[in-house]
Formats: sequence, structure tokens, C-alpha cells
Amino acid sequence: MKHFFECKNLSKDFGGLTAVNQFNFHMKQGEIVSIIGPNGAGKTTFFNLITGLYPVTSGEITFNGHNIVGLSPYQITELGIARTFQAVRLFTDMTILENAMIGQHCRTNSGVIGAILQSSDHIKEEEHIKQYAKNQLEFFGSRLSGYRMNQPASVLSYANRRRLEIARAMSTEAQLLLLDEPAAGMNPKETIEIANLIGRLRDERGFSILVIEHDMQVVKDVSDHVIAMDYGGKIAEGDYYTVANDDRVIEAYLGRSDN
Amino acid sequence: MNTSEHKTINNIQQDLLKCIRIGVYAGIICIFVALIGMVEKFNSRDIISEVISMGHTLLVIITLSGTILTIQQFRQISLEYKHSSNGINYLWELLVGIFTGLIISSILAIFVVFINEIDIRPIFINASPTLLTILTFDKDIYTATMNLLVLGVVLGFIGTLFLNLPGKLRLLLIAGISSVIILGMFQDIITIILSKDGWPKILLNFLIDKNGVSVTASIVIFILIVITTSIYPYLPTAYENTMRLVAIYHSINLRISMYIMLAITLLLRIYWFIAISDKNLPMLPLCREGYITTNATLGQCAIVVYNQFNNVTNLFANSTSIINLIITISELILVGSISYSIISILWKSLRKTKSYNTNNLSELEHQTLIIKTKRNFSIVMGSALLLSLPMLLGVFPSEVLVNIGIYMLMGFGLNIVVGNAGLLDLGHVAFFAVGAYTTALLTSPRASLELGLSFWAALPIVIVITGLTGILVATPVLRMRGDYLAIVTLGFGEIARFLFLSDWFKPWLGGAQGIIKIPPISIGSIEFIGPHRIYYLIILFALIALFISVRIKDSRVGRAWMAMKADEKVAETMGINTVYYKLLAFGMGAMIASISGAIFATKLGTIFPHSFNVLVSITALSLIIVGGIGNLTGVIIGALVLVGLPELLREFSEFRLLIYGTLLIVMMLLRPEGLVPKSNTNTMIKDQDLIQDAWVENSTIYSHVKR
Ligand SMILES: Nc1ncnc2c1ncn2[C@@H]1O[C@H](COP(=O)(O)OP(=O)(O)OP(=O)(O)O)[C@@H](O)[C@H]1O
Ligand SMILES: [Mg+2]
Repeated sequence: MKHFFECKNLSKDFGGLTAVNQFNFHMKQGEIVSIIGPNGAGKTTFFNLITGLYPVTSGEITFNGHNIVGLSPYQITELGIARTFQAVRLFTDMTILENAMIGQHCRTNSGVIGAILQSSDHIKEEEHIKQYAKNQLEFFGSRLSGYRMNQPASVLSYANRRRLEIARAMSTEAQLLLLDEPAAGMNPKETIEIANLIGRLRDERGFSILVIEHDMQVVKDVSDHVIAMDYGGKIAEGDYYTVANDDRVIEAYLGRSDN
Repeated sequence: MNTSEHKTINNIQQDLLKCIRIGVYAGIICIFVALIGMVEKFNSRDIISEVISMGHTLLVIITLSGTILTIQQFRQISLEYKHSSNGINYLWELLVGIFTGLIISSILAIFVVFINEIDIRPIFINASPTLLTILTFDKDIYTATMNLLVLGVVLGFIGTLFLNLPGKLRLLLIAGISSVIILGMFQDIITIILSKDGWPKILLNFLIDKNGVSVTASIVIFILIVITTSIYPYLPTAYENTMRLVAIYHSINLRISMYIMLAITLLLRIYWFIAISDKNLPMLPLCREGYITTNATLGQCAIVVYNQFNNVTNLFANSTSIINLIITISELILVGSISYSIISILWKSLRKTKSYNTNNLSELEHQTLIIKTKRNFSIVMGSALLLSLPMLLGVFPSEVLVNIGIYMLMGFGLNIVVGNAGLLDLGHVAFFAVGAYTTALLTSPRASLELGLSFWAALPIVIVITGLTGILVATPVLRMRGDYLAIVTLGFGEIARFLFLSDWFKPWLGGAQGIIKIPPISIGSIEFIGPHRIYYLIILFALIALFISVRIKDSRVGRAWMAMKADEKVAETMGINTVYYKLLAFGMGAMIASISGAIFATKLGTIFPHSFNVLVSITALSLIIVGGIGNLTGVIIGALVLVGLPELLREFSEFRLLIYGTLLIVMMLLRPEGLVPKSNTNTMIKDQDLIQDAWVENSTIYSHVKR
């Protein structure tokens, strides 16, 4: 049976260190899957492997039937996977709207000639890009839309930067969103809102979502399925209660915090 | 008493030492500029004729800056200690100022005594008797030393006084004095321009005396500038109001009516030309010479250009006196506005559907109208000025303009690579050279290929070949960024020059002899020979490059570059093929630079490898940095400042690199964003953002979390 998204025996070595180790994983379309695990477990590395930022040491990743190992990051985005970053990485010199418009880049194709001549195709496409981006920003209410859209992204508060990153990923018309700790650094209220938002992303916009999260409340609220990682491998999997009560998971967290 | 008081005084002493250090630096700089020959070189000219020379001005400026910097430092210190009342502070400041002036002048005095006693010319060739005369004011050494010291005290006093003037007054003074100094610095070029036929002789005689600006002129200019500066804050409002009026009276589609008007003037003018030679045709009243000799509209400009190619190199050829000129201009404005209004009314009645009544105009529509009017106004005025410049200025200034244009064009190309795509390219001269060499190869009948193509047939080939070269150069450096990229491209630039120079390519490219007999560009029978004609080509291509740059900047491609510049990895994860966009940037940058090189080649008629050295790249890069990276206005201003000024200021050209270096360092320290910084760098909004967030949070009622 073909899965929507699947990894088989995925491994990544950094010199001596195996950051991801024989990792097997699959998910269905429309699912929200959370990845938990102590610091340095290899979660972000896993994302970097999926998005092509790091070359895979061994194993395979398939998405919608395509083998995406060895593809460039932009090709993977074109296939329909988009991500956010643990440490927010926006284009701070560009406006909020432009940041969101970047997402549409891989879905459009007007080039230099069109831009110089301002051909009707170009104008139409440009309008479409803008509209699409605005639409994504409006998903976040007045936090990102309205008069703010034409201000540089550098003026945003930390929480709003995280939101803008999600909007940028949404603009790529991806099917699968990879969110790397979307609630990190947010206050409790904002954290609840993020949890709410992740649910809406799936319900209203139809994204499948793979989310790395440390906040167990968020994990509990949003996920259909939880995976626990440690030392690059999978130590538990199942629904929230199964994973949260798993001995190895508890040990991984407690054991680490003891050291 | 108490220790803290004691400690404060101790610290003040330490910080006073800090201040003294600035004085010492300033003194050393004075000696430095004297020893490298700047003072002597500058001294051949007076700023104000027979009153103060340029060399002396230089020293005075350094001394004044020294004292002013010291006092500013001192102010900071006394702010930290907050120890005394204002009155005492003033006194202290005066003391510090005078003291600094004294330090600077005594360093200079010691230097004077030193070179008077010991001949250091074998080491410092510029420590000549002439320098001594300049520094001693031609007095005996004892009087000279005393004079210098007194001068130092006076300058220190003036510096302090200046800093304590109210801000507005200070601004006026700076504006007035600096415009006189600028006038003095540009006196050569002003003399050249004003001695052209057509400019009234009185103006030149009034402005420039034997060896500098005349005393009366400097006073008049000073007063004029002070007055303009003081009313300057009201000028934008006045401009705005005028434009508002214009917009109200012609609140119809302005652009179209303006074009019609221009077409009519143009037709009238052409008719005039034919009618002059053909006596059978009647002279229409509106075609009378007087209406159409000035250059107030685009139509007139076309004629100016036409004149240019008929060797009428004088804008005032038809109106011999300034009075005639003034009458002509007013007539033209009259005719212009009448025809403008008529067309406006006609247009209005034709397009009944959109008959604007200003009373019903919404504020927004009104604003757009005013903006439109402003834009049209500046387009017309700007093009009029651009097109008539070579005729107004004459041949030598046009030459300078052409050089500025060549660098500006290259700058636009480089700006795509560095400014848009963020790839630090220090070898842009290579593309300039490839453009020049390909043009030479294709067009020169004496080149090895013996093709002798026309420029216009060769240009597309040149552009394509150079574009491909750009891509070729970019391919190996795709994985590099920042400093590494800069070093490698620097190497490429030099490699290109060595290839052109090499024996290997000698049969084709002529080695050190280069390629000769490159024909000038021509359209029909018009040949673009001489700077006052090539100017128009440069303007044309620069405008095209500017247009392309503007359009691309706000497009999908421009955004992709911007994203890549900000964060390459993220850009790639957001779906941008960075390899493609890097190659594209290099390709386009190279193409634009190639046009610049092509014009350069036809302008000189002969090209040698040594014209394409690394300094060309450095200049192109510097003008982008000075102007503000990624900023198109910045490119224009950077080219004017870095290419134009050194050519106009004869005395400066020898110290060109020194001044470049100093300028770049000062820019990096004081204005890293460049002369024309980007507009949207407001960091204040962040707080506002947080407040707004808090508001959103409080007012939004969340649906319950779990679905
Ligand atoms: N580029 C790299 N080079 C070498 N080692 C790396 C690199 N990236 C990650 N690692 C190592 O791989 C391991 C896993 O890192 P990773 O960032 O994936 O952890 P994580 O699960 O995301 O942790 P956190 O919760 O802190 O984000 C760490 O030990 C890290 O030091
Ligand atoms: Mg991580």
C-alpha cells in the first residue's frame, strides 16, 4: 500500500554522530502528527532531511509516490512540502506581504521578459500572487493583514514572526506542512491560539501537518498521532495517551533531565 | 572633602586627555595632507579670489572639525558627570575649544619650524619651499609661528562659538559657507561653461575673478543661499499647492493632453524648419522663431537634440541675449498653457462619461490626481533638462557626463548582481571588457574578423555573448558567498584582462595594442562622434537599464533575488531555484555592463586591455556602496559623486584613490546604508505591533481549543 508520506530506514550521520538512525515513519493525508523528544533527539534534522537541506545518508523518503531523496529543496517544495524553522528565519528586509508572496514563487512562472513588458499575463499573475498571499495572511486575522501588510517583516513581534512563517509556508500551496516548534517562545495564551490554529489549518485549509512540539498541552490538543524520538530513533508511537505514558518516553525525558 | 568629588575630577582629567587626542590627530592629519602635497596642489587656486586659497581652506576645515569634534566629545563627558551649571560649562567648552585649536596649530607650527630648519625633501618630496611659503604666509619664521598659534586660538574660538549657535542659524551658516566653497572648488568648470557663447558674459565676470570666486559674488551667493535655506521649509508646501491648483484646473487625463500638446509643438517646430529653407511656405504665426527657441517642453527638446546633430552646439543660437531668452520662455509658457487648456476642455467634452468635477472628487481621487500632475511635471522638466544639458554645458562637461553615464550603466548592471541578488562581484570589469572587445571585433574593419558590422547589428550579438560569459563565470562560483565570492570574482576580472593581453589571443584581440578603428555609432547619416552626441546614447541606454531594473525589482524575479540575498537556504526551501536565479543575475548584470562597454569602445575608437583594470570594478562597486546598496537612485548619485566629482575637480584627481578610500571608510562608519538609504527601516513599529497584539488578544474570544 502506498502511503501519503513515508520514510524507510532513514539515517543521517554527522561524522561520528548519528542524528537520525534507521527511522521509519508514515502518515496519511489529512493527519496531524506530532513529533516529541528531548533536545538533540534529531527532530529538526529529520525535517532538514525531508526538505532536502541535508543530504540523506541512507534510507528513502517518498511523498505522494515520488521518491524525494536527492532532490533539491526547491523541487521538494514544488512537490508540495513546506516548512517553518525552529529559529524564525524570515526575509526581514521584505514586507510582510512580500514574505507571503515568496511562497507562491514555485506555483507561478512569469520571468524577466514579462516583468519588463508588463504583459497582461504577468500583471494577472502578479495580481493572483498578491491575492493568494493576502488570503493566507488573512487566515491570521488582523495580526498580519490590513495596514501591516506593507511594513517590513522586521517590525513584527516574535509571535507574529512565527505566524508569518506559517503564512509563508501556506502560500506554497503545499499539501504537507512541517512546523518546527511553532509554539516555542510564546506565552500561554498564544500557545493555546497556536494549537487552535494548527487544527484550523487542517480543517479549513486541508493541510496535512507534521509538527515538532515541546509543549505537551499543544501535542495533546492537536495530534491524531504522536511519535517520540530519542537518539535519532523512534522510541514510541501511537495516540497521545499511549506515548505520554510510555516508560521509555518518560525515561528519555526524565533521564535526560537528570544528567 | 569627599572621595567621589575627587574621583570625578580625576576622571575628567582623563577624559580631557581623550579630547586632546582628537586635537593631536587633527594636527597630524594637517601635516599628512601637507606632506602628500595636497595643500600645495590645492593652493594654486583661491576659493575667494585673493582672500583665501583652497589649501588654506583645507587646513582651516580640518582645524575646525577637530575643535568641533573635541567639544562634542567634551559635551558627552560632562553629560555623564552632570557636575556643573550651564555657565561653567560654556566657559569650559570655550577653554577646551581654544585649547584644541592651539594644539592643532602648535603641531603645525612645530612642523613649520622643523621643515624650515631641516630639509626633509629627500624623503618627503612635497615638503618644498612652496609649502613653507604657504604655511608661513610668506612671513619670517618667528612671525609665522606666532601667527599660526593665534590663528589656532581664533579658530578654536570660532569652532566653539559655532557649536553654541542655535541650530537653525548653524544650518544657515553651513549652507552659505559650503556653497561658496563648492563654487570655489568648481570654478574651473563654471568658467568653461559660462564662457560658452550664449551665456551672458556679465555672469562670468561677476562670479569669477582672477583666481577664484570674486569677493562680491561670494557675499551675494552667501546671502542668496542663506535666504533660500531659510525659506526652504516652505518650498515643498508651495510646490504642493501649485500642483494642486494645476490638478484642479486640468482635472482630466493629464498625460494624454500633455502628449497632444507636445506633439503639436513638435509639429510646429518641424514646420518651422521646413519653412525656413523653403521660402514658398508661409510662416505660421505660432512658428515664429521666438516661440520655439527655448527648451521648456519635450517638443523643444527634440529640436535641441536636432540642433546638436547639425553642429549647432549652442542652446542660445537663436536667441542672442538673455532678455530675448526670457521673453521666449514666457511666451512659450503662455502658448503652452493656452493650448493645454484648450486640449483639456476638448478632452473633457469628448469623454463625457468621466467628466471630473473637482467638487465631487473624493479626497483619494484628488490625491492621485495631484500625484499624477507632479509626476508628469517632473517627467517633462526632467527630460527637458536631461536633453538640453550638453548644449547648456558644452563639450568638456558633456565628456564628464558621458563618463558618468558609462559608469552608471555599469552600475545598474552590477546593482542587479550585488544589490538585488546579494552576490558580491568584484570582477564586473570583465563583462564591461567583453562587451567592449566583442563590439570592437564585430564592428572594426581592422579587427581580425574583418566583419565591419554596424553597431546596431553587433549589439544583440554583444549582449548575448556577454550574457553567456556572465553565466559561464557564475557557474563555478555558485556555491560561494560573501568574501570568497568577492575574491574569486576579483580573480576573474584580472584573468579577463590577462587573456585580452595574452600572446595567445593576440591574433584576434591584438594583445597590448588592442583593437583600433572602431567606427562610431550611427543612425542613418547621423554619426555619434563627440561627447555631446554620445551623451544621448548613454542617456538612452541608461534610462532603458533603469527602466528594466525598476520593473524587475518589483516582480516575481526581483522578489526571488531579494529572498535569496536575505537567506539563501530559506529561499531554496520556499521553492526558489537559487542556482537559476544566481545565473540569471550574473547574466543580466553582464548584459547591461556589456552595453556600457560597447559604447565605451565606440566612444574611444580604440581599446586596450589596460583600460579594463581592477579599478573599474572597484569604482563601480564603490558607487553602489556610496549610493546605498540595492538602491537605483543611489546608483545615479553614486556615479555623479564618484565619477563626476573627480573629473570636475582638477586638483582632486591626483588624490582620487585617497579620497575614495576615506569616503568609503567614513561612509561605512557613519552611514552604512549609503547616501540614499531605503525608506522602510522603521524599527519603532515593533512596540506598536506588540500593543496591537495585546489588543487583539484581549478582544478576541477564542473558540474552544479542542475540535
Ligand atoms: N549540521 C550539523 N552538523 C553536525 N551535527 C549536527 C548538525 N545538525 C544537527 N546536529 C546534531 O544532531 C543532533 C540532533 O540535532 P537536532 O537539531 O535535530 O535536534 P532536535 O531534536 O531538533 O533538538 P531541539 O529540541 O533542541 O531542537 C544534535 O546532537 C546536533 O548537535
Ligand atoms: Mg530542533
